[in-house]
Amino acid sequence: MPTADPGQLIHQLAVGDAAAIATIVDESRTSDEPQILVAAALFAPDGDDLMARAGRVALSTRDRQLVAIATAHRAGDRDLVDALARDHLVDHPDSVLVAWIAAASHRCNALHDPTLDKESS
Amino acid sequence: MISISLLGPVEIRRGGELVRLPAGKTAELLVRLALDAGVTVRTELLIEDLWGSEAESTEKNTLHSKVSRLRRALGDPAVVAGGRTGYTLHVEPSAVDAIAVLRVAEIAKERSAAGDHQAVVELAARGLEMYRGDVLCDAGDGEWVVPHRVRLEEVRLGLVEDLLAARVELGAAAEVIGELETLVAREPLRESLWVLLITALYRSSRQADALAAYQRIRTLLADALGLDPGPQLQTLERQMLLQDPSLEGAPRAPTAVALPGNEGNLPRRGSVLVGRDADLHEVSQLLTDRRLVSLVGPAGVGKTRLAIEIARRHAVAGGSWLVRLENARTPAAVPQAVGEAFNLIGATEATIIDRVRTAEILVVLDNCEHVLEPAADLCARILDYAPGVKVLVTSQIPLGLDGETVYALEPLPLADSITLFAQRAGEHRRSFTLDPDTAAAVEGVCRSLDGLPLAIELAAARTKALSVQEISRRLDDRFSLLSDPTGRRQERHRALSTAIGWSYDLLFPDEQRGLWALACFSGGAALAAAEHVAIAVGVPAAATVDVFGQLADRSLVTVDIDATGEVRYRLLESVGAFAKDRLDEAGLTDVARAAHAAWLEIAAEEALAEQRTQSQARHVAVVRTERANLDVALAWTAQHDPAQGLRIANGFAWASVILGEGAMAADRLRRALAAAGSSVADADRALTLSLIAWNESGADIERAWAEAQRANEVADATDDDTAITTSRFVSAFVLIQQGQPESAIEVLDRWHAAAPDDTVVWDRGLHVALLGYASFAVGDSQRAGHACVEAEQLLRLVDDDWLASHLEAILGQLAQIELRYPDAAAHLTRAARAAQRAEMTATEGFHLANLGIVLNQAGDQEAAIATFEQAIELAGTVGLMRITAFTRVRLGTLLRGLGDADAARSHLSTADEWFGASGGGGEAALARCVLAAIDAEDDLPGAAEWLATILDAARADGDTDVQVLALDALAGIESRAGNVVAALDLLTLADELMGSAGQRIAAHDRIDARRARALVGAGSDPAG
Repeated sequence: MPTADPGQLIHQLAVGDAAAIATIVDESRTSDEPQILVAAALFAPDGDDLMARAGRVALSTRDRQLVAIATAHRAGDRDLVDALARDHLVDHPDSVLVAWIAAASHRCNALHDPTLDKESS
Repeated sequence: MISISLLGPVEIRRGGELVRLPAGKTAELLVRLALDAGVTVRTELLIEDLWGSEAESTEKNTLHSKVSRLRRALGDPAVVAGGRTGYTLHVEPSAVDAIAVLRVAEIAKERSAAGDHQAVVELAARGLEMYRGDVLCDAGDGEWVVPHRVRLEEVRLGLVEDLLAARVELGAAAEVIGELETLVAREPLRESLWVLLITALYRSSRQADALAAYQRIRTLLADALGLDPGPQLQTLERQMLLQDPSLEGAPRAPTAVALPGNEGNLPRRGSVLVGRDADLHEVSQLLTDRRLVSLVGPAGVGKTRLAIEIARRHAVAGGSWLVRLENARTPAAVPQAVGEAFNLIGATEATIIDRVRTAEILVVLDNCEHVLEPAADLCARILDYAPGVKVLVTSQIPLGLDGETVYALEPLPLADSITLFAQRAGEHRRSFTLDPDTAAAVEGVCRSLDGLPLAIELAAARTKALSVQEISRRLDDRFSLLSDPTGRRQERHRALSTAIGWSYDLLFPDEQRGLWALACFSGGAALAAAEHVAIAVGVPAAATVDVFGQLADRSLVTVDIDATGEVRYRLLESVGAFAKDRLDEAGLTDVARAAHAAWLEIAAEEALAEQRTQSQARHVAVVRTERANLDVALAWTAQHDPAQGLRIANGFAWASVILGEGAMAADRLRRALAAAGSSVADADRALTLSLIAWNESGADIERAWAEAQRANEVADATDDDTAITTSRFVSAFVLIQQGQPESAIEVLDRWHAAAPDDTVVWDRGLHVALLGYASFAVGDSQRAGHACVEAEQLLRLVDDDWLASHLEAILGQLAQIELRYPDAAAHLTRAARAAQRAEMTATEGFHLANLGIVLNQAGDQEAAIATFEQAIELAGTVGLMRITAFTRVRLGTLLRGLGDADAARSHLSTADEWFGASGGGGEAALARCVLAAIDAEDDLPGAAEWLATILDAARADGDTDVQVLALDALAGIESRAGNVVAALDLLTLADELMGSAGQRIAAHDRIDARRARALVGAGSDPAG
């Protein structure tokens, strides 16, 4: 099966396509794409491992900032997520995943509560 | 005296008093005549202009009646003179503002073309002040007035453009952006305004906005006119895309904004200083009659920024010099830092005093609080010995010296704090405006940050992504966590540390790591070095440049760009201390320090590998720039990896010799060797000891000899050729310096006898150079000649400028002795050029001084004068005042011979003054002797007695050269008095002595002897 386009998957995630989550988590088993690993880490039970992998493969400023924002999000530091995400989006307004994380961090009844995820892992 | 203002409602003043003028046609008549003041305007033309379509039916009498009313109003009928052809307003054109402004605009254009931007600012402002509203508004609606109005409005806009352009050039680009935006909105098709706007944006680090502005005008022109932007705009776009350095404008030396002749080392203008008008005025006033003023206040209050601005505006002949003391940690580091500001290598208190003794300068001693005592000591000495020097200190604590005027710098008042926040916020987010929605929040932020400029800037830097309300909330949260009200001072400190901590916590992790990396450096970090350490603490290589850029954008890091375009990152002291603590907390201090040392080791290895190649100058420059980092790295390696420390020290040691670092480099090597202890192999130890001796020879020759002896002993216990060769060469070098050239020749001969056949070219070259110098010193010209023959051959093979310079110098010396002046000049010219390439400024100055002597001997006085002047300037820049004084004596003597006694006296007096204050020397007697001879020639009283005293002293000192010149001058006195016998006796004595005179004077230097012989009619002229 051909590997799905990471950008497309993130877009699907952003518009609420629940099926995209499963695909992203599935892709993350073999992907070296920071966006996929970060997105998967927000949902998969092995989120810490995925974040660690994302941290290792993220080399550009943009990807490094994505990892930092996701880390803050998973740590439940909503204030920091908010500040970092705004900063990131000034320079990278097309960063869909960061926009999605920033929005998710504000939602009280998010699809997935990252703090619970952290506690359960 | 009548003055007429037309650039607004018409105003006439007579002797300063306002004159009432009837409105309507009388006023129009005045305007019409005033625009041609002093020129007769034909009657028909006046009627046609003023009455337009009704002109044909208008009688001349109507015009006459208006003229009569105008004359009555002006109170002097002669002012409006009537003739057969027309009327003339007899007023000076310069008294009519609409004419005067044209001249002002013209001069502003001329000054702009000449690059005198400060003058343009003043002229343009003066011109714009003349405009008081709508131009020629009382001139009616006649067609004649339209071109005048258009022209004067065009001049007004031109003045605005000139003013803004000059301000951009003077570093106020960010300040004028708002005004330019308004102007391009009003005059959207005026391309010159867009050029200014785009340039201002670019220079304010808003490249994206600059490119967007270009797109705006391109679209506008295409839509409105179907045209492409003009060539100037297109070039500008290309330059932006290529990041052409020329777009940054000419390097803004302080001269650009200060006064003519002002030099110094102040950094180029960064952001605009907000507020502080009263402080600027008061401290500047204090500096007019006080010599030591201390700006005292808490960290982050803006002492340095204010001091630099004051220094920029301070008019002083020798310029303003900024000495950064933030990295000085020991008493010895204080004079070194001062020396570095003056480009003096290895400066001591004595060399600094030497440099500034006769200077008229302002010294800014910045950040003195942690080295208060040594800074105060040095400051006191400078003030004692250098009457033309003023000192402006910044410190958290006063120096405590007598005569110190302490100026306590308070935080910014609230209004200025708000302005500062708004201005900086506007630089980070163009759309930021201070409106009712934001004003309260900004005020809250400024209050909570206690008016500390640094803290406010850190907060404002966040407006790029956060609203001011969010910044306020976040800061409030932070303050409530840290609430611990104590004294005012602590509160201010807390405000700053809170702002730093707050800003730091909002950084991305890589940016925090970037800050940790920079905290390891002392005296700033080059980009490559900063990247090296940042990578070690976990920043990916691909992200490092972005990281440092972001840190600068957030006002946590300052970026200096030197004259060569090299970028250097610096941390403000308080930010650096904070970052060091975070690095410690992260447990990465050793990792970062090791990377810092490793980077220097790489640089040292490169320096070692290329020290005898054309890349030499590059490594010399590294030593000059990275001295503070070198010390930091050696301190760390002494504890953690002494062997690495020794490799670093040794790698840079030869570059230090070329640079002339002297005792400073020798001490560095000693520390590294001591730290390495007994683990060092004998060959390495011998090599290090030799390098210590080479460096020390520039400072303490006895100590250098002792080190050279030790190097020889250790080397003898090895069979290492490099160690043995280096120890022998340094011994010979030190022996020559000690005045023992015979012993040096013995050492060199012994080495040569034992040297292998395949000795490398460089060693052979150095051997020849040393042998040549030593042979000249003992007067063995035959041996020197042989050495020179070999030097000539080796020159073609030698690849480094240091050695080439020395080989050329001995060839020049030989040619000079053999009176082959053109050859000598050619060799010395090449020697000077090689020294210049190797950045050996002192050596270059020395060779140029000798070249001047040779050119003079060769009879090319014009070239000699130019070369002497160049040598004086060059030696002066690096503080080699002895070479400067030596050269002045030569130049003064030459100028006297050419009949320019005033210039000669000036040079000789300057040299004499310097010698007098610096312990004299052989040249001092020569300077005084020539000065006394000039006095004698000018018939000044006491000249003969002075010459007699000089002659006695020269006899006592065995100084034959001075005896000859003094006798010649005395003979001149006698010859002018008609005492032929006495004159001839003195000349005979001088001639006899001339045979044993040294090399300092030649026959043609005996000006007085020639003149005396001419007067007494003596036939033979041994003086040539």
